[in-house]
Amino acid sequence: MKIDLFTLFAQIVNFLILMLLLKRFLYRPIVRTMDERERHISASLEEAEQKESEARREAAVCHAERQEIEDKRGEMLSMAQEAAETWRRDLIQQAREEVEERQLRWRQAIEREKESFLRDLRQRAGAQVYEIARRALADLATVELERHIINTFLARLPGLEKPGADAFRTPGMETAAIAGRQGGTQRPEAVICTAFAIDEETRERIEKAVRERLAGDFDLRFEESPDLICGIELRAGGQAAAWSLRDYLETLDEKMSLAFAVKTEE
Amino acid sequence: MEISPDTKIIWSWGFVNLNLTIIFTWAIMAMIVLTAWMATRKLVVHPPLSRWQNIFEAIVTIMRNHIREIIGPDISRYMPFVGTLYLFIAVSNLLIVIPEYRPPTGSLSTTAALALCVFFAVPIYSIAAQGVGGYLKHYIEPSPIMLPMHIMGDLTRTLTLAVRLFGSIMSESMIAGALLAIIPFFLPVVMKLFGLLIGQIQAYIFAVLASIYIASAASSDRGRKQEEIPMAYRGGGHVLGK
Repeated sequence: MKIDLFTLFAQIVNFLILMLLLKRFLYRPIVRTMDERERHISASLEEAEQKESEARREAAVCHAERQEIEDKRGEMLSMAQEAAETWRRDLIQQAREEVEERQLRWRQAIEREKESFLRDLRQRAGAQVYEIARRALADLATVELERHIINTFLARLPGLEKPGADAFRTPGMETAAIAGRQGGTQRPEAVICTAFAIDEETRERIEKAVRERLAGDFDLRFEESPDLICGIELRAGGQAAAWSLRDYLETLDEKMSLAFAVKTEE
Repeated sequence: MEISPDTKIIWSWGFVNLNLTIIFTWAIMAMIVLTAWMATRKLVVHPPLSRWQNIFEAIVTIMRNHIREIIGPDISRYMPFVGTLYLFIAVSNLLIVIPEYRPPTGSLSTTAALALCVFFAVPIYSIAAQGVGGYLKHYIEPSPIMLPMHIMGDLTRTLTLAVRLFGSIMSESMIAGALLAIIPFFLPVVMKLFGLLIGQIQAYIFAVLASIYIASAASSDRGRKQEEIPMAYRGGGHVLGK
C-alpha cells in the first residue's frame, strides 16, 4: 500500500490528457449541440409566441370585422325591412286605390247601365203607353164622337184670335189673312182633315164657320186621314188648327220625352 | 495477495514502470475517448438523435445540472475537470464486472494523483475567478489566525479524497478476495454487485466533493457560497466518507 511516484505522475498526466480529449471530443460538441438545439427551441417558441400573438391579434381584428359585418347586416336588414314595409304599404295603398277606382268605375258602369236600362225602360214604357192609348182611342173612336169633336172645334174656332185661345194646342196658330200671306197668283187653299167621312150638313157648317173665321178668298177642300184617329184639323197657308186625339197623344208623347230628358240630366 | 495493480509490472525501463494501473488507465481512456468520438462524430441538432448521442447528452446534462447546483450558473470552465473525474472513476469502477480486471482506482497512486489534481485545481480555478490576491486573501479570513487552519484544511481534504476513494475500491477487492476464500460460490457475486454500487457512489462523491472545494475556493464570498451549497453536499465528506 504505497504510492508509486511514476504511476502517480503518469496518472496525473493521463488524467490531464483524458480531460483535454474529452473536452475536445465530448463536452464541447455535445454542449454546443445542446445549446444550438436550445436556441432553436427557444427561437421556435418565440416564433410560435409571435405567431400566436399575431394570430390572436388577427383573430381580434377578424372578430371586430365580423362584429362590424353583423352590425351592418342587422342595420341593412332593418333598412330592408323598413323599405319592404314601406313598399308593402305603398303597394297596399296602390291596390286599394286601384280597387276603389275600379269599384268607382264599376259603380259608374252599373249606374250607366242602370240609367240606360231605365231610359230604355222609360222609352219602351212611354211607347207602350202611347201605343195602348192610341189603340184604346182608335177602338173607341166613332163617327159620333167625331161629330162631337167637330162641334167643339167649331164652337171654339171663333175664339182663336182671342187671348187664351190656345185651347187649340197647336202653338202660334194664326187664323188671320191666310190667303193674304200666301200672296202669289195661285188661289189659296184651306184643307179640312177628318178621320171619318162627314156628311154634307156638317161640311156646310164647317165651311161656313171657317169662311167666317178666315178672311180672304180661298178654296176649301175636305180630306179623310185615319192618322187623326178621331177629330178635325184645319190647315191653311202652312199653319194648322186641330183638335184630335192624335194631338193629345203627341202632347203626351212630348211631355213624357221632356220628363225623361230632365230625369237623365239629373 | 496483491491488493494494488501497481505491483504488477508489465514492462520496466529504469524509472519507467508500466504496471497494470497505467495499462488499464490507458484502456479506459481509449474506451471513453473512442466512444465519445464515435458518439459525437455525427451530432445532430434536431431529432431523431442516435442512441449514443442520446446517452452522452443525458450524461452531460446530468453532470451539468449537478455542477450547476453546486457551483453556480457559469460552469463551462469547471465542466471538463469535474466531468472527467466522474467519468473516469465511474467507468473504471464499472468495469470490475470483467474478469481479471483491476480497477486503477484501487491503486493509491491513482487516487492520490486525482486528489493532487483537485488540490492544484482548486487554487487554479480560484485565481482564475478572483485573481491571486483574492485567492490568497481567503487564507487570512476571517482572521490571520486561521491561516494554519486553512492550510491544514487544504492538505487534509486532499488526503481524505485520495484515501477515501482508494479505501473504498481496495476494500471491496479485498473483501471479495477474502470471501472467495471462505465461501467460493454465490456470495462473491453479491459482493461484486455491491462493489459496483459502491464504485458508482464513490465516483459521484469524488466529483461532488471536488466541485464543492472548487466552488468554495472560487467564490469571493465564501460564506454566501457555503449557504448556497445543498445540505447533503455540505456534509457529504463527513457523512459518506470513511
